[in-house]
Amino acid sequence: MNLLKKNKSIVIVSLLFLGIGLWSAYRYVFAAPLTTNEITAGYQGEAADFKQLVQNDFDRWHNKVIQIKGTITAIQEEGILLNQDIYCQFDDKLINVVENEVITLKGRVIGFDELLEEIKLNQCIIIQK
Amino acid sequence: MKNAIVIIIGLLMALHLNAQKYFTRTGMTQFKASEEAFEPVEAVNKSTTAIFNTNTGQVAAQVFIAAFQFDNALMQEHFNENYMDSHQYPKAIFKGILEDFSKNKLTSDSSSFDLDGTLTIRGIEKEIHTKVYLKDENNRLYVTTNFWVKPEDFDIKIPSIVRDKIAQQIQISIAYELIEKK
Repeated sequence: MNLLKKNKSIVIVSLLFLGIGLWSAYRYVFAAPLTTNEITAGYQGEAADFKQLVQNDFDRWHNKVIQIKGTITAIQEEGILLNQDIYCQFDDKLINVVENEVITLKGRVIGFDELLEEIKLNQCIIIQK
Repeated sequence: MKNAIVIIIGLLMALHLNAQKYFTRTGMTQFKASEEAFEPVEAVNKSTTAIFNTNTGQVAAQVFIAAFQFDNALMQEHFNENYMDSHQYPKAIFKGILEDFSKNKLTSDSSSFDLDGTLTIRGIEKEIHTKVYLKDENNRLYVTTNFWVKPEDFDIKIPSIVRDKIAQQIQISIAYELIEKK
């Protein structure tokens, strides 16, 4: 009797662990990509300094999330230009931003745009205005 | 004096001609490589840069590989790291020309043009011939097209374990809204 009771608890505990394991595996395999908000920025600082930094080693920043502070030099439907040649694309509609305003934003570096000669960021979010 | 005026007018016209470029930074490029009965293998890129010269019909586009968004994080990671090597080849590049293009032919209804060009993915070039549909609405050009490529065209190796889940022919669709470049 005692042995059966002991075994029963072992079985329950094992099933529980198995369940947790399967659930975690399922979550890992089917997880949605992280949003910009959920990723820690690999660089935080002035947009002008970042521009200097990437000139030396662009590859290092490819697909990395960064947080930069700069001046809005142009506004478009889906994004803004920061310090003239950093294009920042937003997923949401842009509201309440004006030219020459200094803002801090977070976004993902997707590459250097050779056609327009700009650094390109997407999935941007505004951190501070 | 007369000559000077002619030259000035000539220069102004040349400048005006040079300005006939349309572009986008947020063009949509999509691919579908799904096989029925399996999980969809597809992603959307809304960050394509494209420039179109309406005088010559020349087009150039840059597709940033890291900007392809999947519903599934693991699939996105494998796409970037195992299949596309996006760190080494961050961009796909297309260069081409619309045959017999003239901006006068455009209306607010779609007209079709033949597009000939070269698509470069992972440093490997492939000729592309397809039809492109274009319309002009309030001086915005709407461009759409789709064509098919094969993974082996670009030396993309697909492990046999997932071979059945990825289509042999991958459909690439684009939809760009171009504005005049000033």
